[in-house]
Amino acid sequence: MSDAPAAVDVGRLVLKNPVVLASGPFGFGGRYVELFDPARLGAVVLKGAAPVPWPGNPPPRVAAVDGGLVNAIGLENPGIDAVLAGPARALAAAGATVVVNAIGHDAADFVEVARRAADSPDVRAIELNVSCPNVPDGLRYGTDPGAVAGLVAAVRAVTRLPLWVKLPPTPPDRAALARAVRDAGADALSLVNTLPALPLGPTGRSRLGAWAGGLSGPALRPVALLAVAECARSVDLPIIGMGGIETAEHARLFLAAGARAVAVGTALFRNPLAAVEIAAALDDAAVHAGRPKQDHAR
Amino acid sequence: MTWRPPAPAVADLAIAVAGRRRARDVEIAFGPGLPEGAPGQFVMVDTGDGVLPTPFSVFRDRPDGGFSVLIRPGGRPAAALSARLRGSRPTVRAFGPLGRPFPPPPPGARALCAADAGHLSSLVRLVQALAQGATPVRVIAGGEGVARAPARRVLADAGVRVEAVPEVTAAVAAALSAATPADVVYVAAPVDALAHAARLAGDMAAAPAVYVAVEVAMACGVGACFGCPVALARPEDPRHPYARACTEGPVFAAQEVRFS
Repeated sequence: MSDAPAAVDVGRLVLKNPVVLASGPFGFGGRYVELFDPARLGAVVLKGAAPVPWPGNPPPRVAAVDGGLVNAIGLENPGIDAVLAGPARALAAAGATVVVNAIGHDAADFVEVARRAADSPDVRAIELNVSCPNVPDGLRYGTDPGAVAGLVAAVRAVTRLPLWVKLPPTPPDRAALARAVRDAGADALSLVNTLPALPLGPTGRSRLGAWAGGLSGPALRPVALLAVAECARSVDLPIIGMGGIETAEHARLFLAAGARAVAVGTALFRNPLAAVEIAAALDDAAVHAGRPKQDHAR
Repeated sequence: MTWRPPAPAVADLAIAVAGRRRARDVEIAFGPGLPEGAPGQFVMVDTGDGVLPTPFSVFRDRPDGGFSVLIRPGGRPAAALSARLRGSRPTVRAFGPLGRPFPPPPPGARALCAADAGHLSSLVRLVQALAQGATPVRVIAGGEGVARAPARRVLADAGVRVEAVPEVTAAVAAALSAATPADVVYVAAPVDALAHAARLAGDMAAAPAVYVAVEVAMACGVGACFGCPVALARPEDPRHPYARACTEGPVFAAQEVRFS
């Protein structure tokens, strides 16, 4: 256990504070690493990585809407080997807790990413992205308890690393899905991914090259809070809550709803310091309250 | 002014109205706090208009170490900034400078800078740097509003004449097909004009170096999110058909980009 005042346990992984960078907006670091120190955060969840490079969707890929952002990046990535050799190694060397986000077209892809990530000394956990609305079949596993259980079990069989499973915001039976994930051997839930959305322009045409995308930002916040609260009641797995978190006050809402940690994503765009500012505020609060570790998480 | 891009920074900058230009453009001054960028780079500003920052190209540097940008009244960023400006001590969070700048010309080269009226302001610092470096530079600007463009007056104050032409695409074509074209051409204009310049240069046996500044929707501005892809004409790896406008751009060699 860390001595940091705001340290939290997320399953078998101890985070120095409960603020995590969500997979996606931080990408593989980019020039964000020149603007803030990711090692000051609980963990960094990298952008999704597949066994081989994916080109992503045609442009345009982002459309701002009232209360949020609709993106259809399409999981562009250079492949897990390049991710492990480049950003994962560099971030770990700089002191960051690195989590690989695994993506794939089928279970074999997820297993392959997990197997290679597990061989890396730089990776501390794996997040399975079973809920991306921006690619064909992206939601196949994230809505079917039987399918997701099979996937998690298959990945569990090739790695001892902590497994986080990222679920969609509005699955048909959230409790059943969460229990299936737990029973298959997952260590934590990441809640929630983006919400499928269509950003039409004034002419009635989509503003995205891929037509539809995923909604993130403040409009997603109450949707995510419901997901966190319901899962916290239905399963005894730690939850990383995310969706529209821009301030420490927003983070506290997620912790109050039952999250063990929170992830910051879209807020980075307008304020690259959002995550480290939230972490500092929660750290200060933990120090001044003199509360035991994790006390704020319940 | 430097050609060498510095490391970016994040800062809360004071803002003020630096001037109104015939009710068409408003010049917003940003206080010091960010490193000075190279010509062609941009700054991300959280105007308070939604979840995305607004990328601004710097119009001109200010004596206090800050910079200014030109904005068109009526848009959402302008409305959001206006709301900020009504505060008692208005500030915005900004980060930069970002992106790949215009490359400097080789020694002894002659340069042509071409823009439409709406983009001329984004070439001001480039033209100033060229002039300071003793590079012979010709500046042409096309379309309605060139005569009233604030950039034209700023450049005139610096001793650079802007040639007003009816339309920038035809003017670039004429300049490229001239008997002795410039050695380096820089274009900031709508995408159709950029595409035309790229096609012309591609068809020439001994084309000058043509650089274009593209404008696409961006989210992070720092090469992280992959939200601003620009299709490459000849990608080295077919599995990576896109470049990021915010990082590999916004300035590209014209032949690098696949315009469609």
